[in-house]
Amino acid sequence: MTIIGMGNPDMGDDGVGVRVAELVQEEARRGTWRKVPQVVAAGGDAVLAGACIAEDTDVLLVDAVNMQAEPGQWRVFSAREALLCREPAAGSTHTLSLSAVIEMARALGYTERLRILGVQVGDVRPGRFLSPQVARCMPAILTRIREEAETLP
Amino acid sequence: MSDANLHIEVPYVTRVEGHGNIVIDMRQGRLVTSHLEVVEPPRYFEAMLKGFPYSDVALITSRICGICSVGHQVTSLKATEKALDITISEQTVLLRKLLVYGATMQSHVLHVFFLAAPDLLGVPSVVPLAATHPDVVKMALRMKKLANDICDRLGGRTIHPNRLVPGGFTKLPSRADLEWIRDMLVKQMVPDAKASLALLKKLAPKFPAFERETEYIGLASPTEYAFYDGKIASTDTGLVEVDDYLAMTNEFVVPHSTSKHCRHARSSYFVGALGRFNNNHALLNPLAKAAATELGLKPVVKNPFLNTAVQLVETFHVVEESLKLIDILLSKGIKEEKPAVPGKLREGRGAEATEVPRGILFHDYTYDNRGQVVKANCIIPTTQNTQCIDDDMTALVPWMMDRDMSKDQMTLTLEMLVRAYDPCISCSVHFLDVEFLE
Repeated sequence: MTIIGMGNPDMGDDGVGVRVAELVQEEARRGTWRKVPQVVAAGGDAVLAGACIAEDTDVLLVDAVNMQAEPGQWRVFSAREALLCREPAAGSTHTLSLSAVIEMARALGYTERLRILGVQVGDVRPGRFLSPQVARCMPAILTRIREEAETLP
Repeated sequence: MSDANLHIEVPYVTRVEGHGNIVIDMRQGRLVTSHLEVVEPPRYFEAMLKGFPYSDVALITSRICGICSVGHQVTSLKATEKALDITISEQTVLLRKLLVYGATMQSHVLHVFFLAAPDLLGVPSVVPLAATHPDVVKMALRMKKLANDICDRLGGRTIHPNRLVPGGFTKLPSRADLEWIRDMLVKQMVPDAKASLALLKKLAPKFPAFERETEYIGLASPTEYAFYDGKIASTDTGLVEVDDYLAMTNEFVVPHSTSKHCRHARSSYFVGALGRFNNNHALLNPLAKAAATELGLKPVVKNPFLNTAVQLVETFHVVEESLKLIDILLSKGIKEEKPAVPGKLREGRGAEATEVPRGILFHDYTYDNRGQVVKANCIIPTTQNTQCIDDDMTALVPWMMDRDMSKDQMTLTLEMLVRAYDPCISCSVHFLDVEFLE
């Protein structure tokens, strides 16, 4: 299993995916998890995320989302569900949207093993921080990832 | 063409980093405007550095760019070490070079396949390519992932590495890391690069056959195809020391761009893969040299569109060079060593240069006697290329009109030109709609 953390850690909650990836790596270093997933902090490099997805393994892509929920709420989407909320594809590779990456994965036949853990953002102003609401959801997200890592083959 | 009117505006050039607009205005056969507008706000990194201690500078300047973060960090460290008289070990130099090569592979693969290839294959972006050319996209993703993994194993992270500090590394890669990289380069990257070459050879006729002679600038060394170190070489004027970089860059401002422009012996000069190739071709490694021959590339290459093809040649070169470095490191064994530190802090200035994927990058710092930045200057490759892009456009528009190209073809060709430079517009100070007004 691979965890991909996306977002910009210098823009508040936008970097929640990278923060989750870092926390999983810290847990791995402490040796507290029985099975440790591969972790990639892709940040804003959507092509790198696509490259990880193309390794044809179970992928959980963690990213900040706006799903009109309370800040800190999170849910796991299938790739199919994520396609339903497709946004216009951005033109720059550096800002290739998550939906564009998913579309690429779908065309390559990898979406069955791809899921997205989306966290509703609260504060995306410049700065290296998480809003209190998003910070509070970290333990539950880590628990979910640990359970999945220990369950999946 | 003598009485032709033409107005092309491309408000957002896609598949480049940052935000730039193409503006072409021809009235009654006279080209009034032909330039790339850079409209991004300045980012004030140099001012931001003032007062920071030398230990923090490379970590901050790394954030100038997410693609060239390794190049910025390495150049920054070299400038700081020169200013503060810090001597680094041979092992540190070898590992930094290896990291620079990994970052070059990563960036070149990104540009060749994800930015430039869609133009050659007639699709708007890489996303439709996944459906029509899945094996190509899978190969490109595989190559990019491996290059990112190399940076991760050496620098601690795929982007913005955190193990590089003034004087050395906080954590060294293991022997197993180096063996893994070597194995993967041989088993995966070399075959994929060869397959890429075969593909690009087929697509090469789709590069516009446009040529414009200009000055080509890049680092040059008598012993190697220079990326990490060397003197500044110009195809017009020869070699100068890096300390004299301001005499080469000659920055100036223009009304249509928030990025400064540069010129040296002519109205503009070219940096990037072509700048390196045209100054270092004889020192390419064997596979790279053979790739250049297969693609028909001989110095001096004057077609800016072929910058992309030369990037693939350089991908071979850095792979071969990485294998050599790994063999040296493995034969000597990785030695645990603490980063070198400066002696007594004193005032000092250091200017250094590294070849990053988009061309020669300069960092220049002045420190006070507490080791804090007093003054900083960073001149990035895209800043050096913006005037060259404008000059190319000025020559390209009549060239296209002579060939009776349609407006759509001209617009695409102009975009391809900008993309060929692989510009990093945000660093020099996103997406494409086209509007014609005649």
